[in-house]
Amino acid sequence: MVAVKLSILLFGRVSDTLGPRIEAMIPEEGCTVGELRRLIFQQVGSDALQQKGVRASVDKLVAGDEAFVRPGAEVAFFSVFSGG
Amino acid sequence: MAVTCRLQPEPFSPPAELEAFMAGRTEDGAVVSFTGLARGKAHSGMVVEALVLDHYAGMTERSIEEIAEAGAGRFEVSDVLVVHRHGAIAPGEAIVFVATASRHRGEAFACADYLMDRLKTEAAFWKREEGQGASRWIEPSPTDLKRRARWSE
Repeated sequence: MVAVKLSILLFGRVSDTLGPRIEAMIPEEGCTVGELRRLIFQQVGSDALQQKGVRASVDKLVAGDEAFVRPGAEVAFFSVFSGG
Repeated sequence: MAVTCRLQPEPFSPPAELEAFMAGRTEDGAVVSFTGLARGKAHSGMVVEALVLDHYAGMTERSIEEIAEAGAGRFEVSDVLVVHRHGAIAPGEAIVFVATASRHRGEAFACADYLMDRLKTEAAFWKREEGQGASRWIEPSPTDLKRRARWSE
């Protein structure tokens, strides 16, 4: 499998554990958000992104675990929103 | 109808925003506004030196606009204004300002209430209190979630 590097942004409580940005290697053909969570767990050794309530966005649109991530996409994981 | 949203790091003046929103308004019988202020003390009693709202450029603006547009579409209002800060906010400064205008007060009240309930739970911000060398994330309370759920019924 050829792997490519993907930079991932983190916001909210989840950034306490992993910092504001991490990098992960993903298949060059891409993967789903759910697969990306598992890859990060394997590569970073933290299950912070697998905790309940941690959501994702792809290219700044909130995305479920079934959403597809292509190399070069802008991916973020974040804890629950709290505005106002 | 005008739906106006601003996201900014700089402090703003709620009275000035309200005055500008009301200027020249001759067809509406009601203007409702809400200002959310940063508190200087946390629920735990901790002195808060700053409330910090992290945001995600692009996604945060879109989330505010989507909420404002939804409010304008759901209620019979003439105009909607949302001003929201991000970054470090000192106690006493405004975090958010919402204004709605309508012919009669009921729709203006309801729209402002709806906007705030959704902004508290769905606008893409991550809020934390900082003070006394500590930092604590603030997430929506059960009351916030219950208030938001009213609008799904």
